[in-house]
Amino acid sequence: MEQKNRPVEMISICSTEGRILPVRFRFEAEDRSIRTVQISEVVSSKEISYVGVEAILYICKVKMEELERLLELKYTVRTHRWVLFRVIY
Amino acid sequence: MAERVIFHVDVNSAFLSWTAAYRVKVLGESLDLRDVPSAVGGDRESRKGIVLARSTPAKRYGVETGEPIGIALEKCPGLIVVPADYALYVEASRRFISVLRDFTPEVEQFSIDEAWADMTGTGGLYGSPLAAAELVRQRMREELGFTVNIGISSNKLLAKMAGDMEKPDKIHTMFPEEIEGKLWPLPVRDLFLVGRATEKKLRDMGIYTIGDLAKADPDLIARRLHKPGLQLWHSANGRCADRVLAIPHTNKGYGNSVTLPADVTDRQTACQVLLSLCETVGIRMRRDGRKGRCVSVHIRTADFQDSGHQRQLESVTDVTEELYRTACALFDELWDGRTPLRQLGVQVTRICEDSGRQFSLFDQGFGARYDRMTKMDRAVDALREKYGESSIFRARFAGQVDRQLAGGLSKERRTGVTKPV
Repeated sequence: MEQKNRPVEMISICSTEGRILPVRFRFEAEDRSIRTVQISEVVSSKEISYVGVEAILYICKVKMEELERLLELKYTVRTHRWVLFRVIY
Repeated sequence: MAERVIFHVDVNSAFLSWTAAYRVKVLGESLDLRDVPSAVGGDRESRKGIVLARSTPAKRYGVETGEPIGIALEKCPGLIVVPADYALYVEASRRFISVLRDFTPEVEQFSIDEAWADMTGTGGLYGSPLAAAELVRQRMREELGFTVNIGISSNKLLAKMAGDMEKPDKIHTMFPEEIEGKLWPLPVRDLFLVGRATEKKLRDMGIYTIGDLAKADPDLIARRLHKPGLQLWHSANGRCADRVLAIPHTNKGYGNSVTLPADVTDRQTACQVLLSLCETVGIRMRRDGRKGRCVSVHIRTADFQDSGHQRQLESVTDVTEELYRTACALFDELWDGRTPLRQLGVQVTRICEDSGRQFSLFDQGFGARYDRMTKMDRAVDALREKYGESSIFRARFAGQVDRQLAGGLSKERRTGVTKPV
């Protein structure tokens, strides 16, 4: 989990107002098993465009192995890719 | 008329900043290239291995922009050299300009990382020029993740001179009343548009600083350096009447050149390179709906001797085939057939809007096929536009499709970085 910028597969909701909300994602763990994670709360989101790369950054609460964790997930607008940017705790 | 307020905004070591900011802010790396000796370098394999940008710590080791990477590594053995990413730079540049446009509609892009912005009359919106500049600088840093230098003055020239003072991440002013203290003590070489050759001429006249030039006799300057000299004299006195052009001038010429991975020593290969350059030039002209009358070819030999040759055509053209034939004829007259060539370039000038062709009664060869060639070029352009550049190519490039469009630095770059976004 320490690796930064881990690509993930995401299920998200595109609302009628054009907002994108992450719901559930999965990724390949170090032991090659596929882990699925349910997002329990989107704490905050903001649009960023560092160096012109437009993206939306989400701070999300998830439950993993009976532990609550806070993650930063990022959606890059141009490439439509989701990454787990970092684990806050 | 109220005094104008012009900003010159310049990204600090742009390519390096952008790569560094991308790695830190987007990829989440912890090492910031701007804090260590590092440089963005061209591809050494294909002999474009020069330093394109370097970080401030690298500068302290004496690493200069434009010098070969080998020499830079000798000066600074620990130098981190990263490859250039033009797609990223174009994106960053667009964003940079669009942020400036949020402040004023009058933005003139000068290069991929520099622009002038006319901030006259924005006092009610942002406060004093210094406060406005602070806002711009803050937004660039927080929103885009890189730093800029801002020069403030009442004309473009002084704004640029102010922007080039101490870096990075600084704001400087250079209003006309400050010229004597800030501009005049600088060496004359630092003046905008003074290059190595002009510097030498000025030095021969005993002019070493911008102040010397400003106080010199304009008649004397004009006699030695002619009209451009007079322009420089005005510049040294801080006079510049150029407006900030939000809509850029149209191209005066279309040219592309390429430095080859290996020296060319035979005519066949050289002509193939010329063809690929003509293709690129032709595509660009046709896309802008323009034609040219004068074709020129330039070559650079392996020991860096440059030479060129040009010719007027009977009628304007944008046909690749016609450009190519002319380029080959010029090349044959220019090249001795032996000297190894390092770089080739093709340029079309005397541009005009797409107009009809003046057919010649005596033109039995190409002219007769002109209409068909035009149609073919249009069809090929349309196919490339729709299905990609390698969807169709001349048989000559079979097996080496990637070589068919030479010149320009990358696909992204060919779409015209310095044009409005």
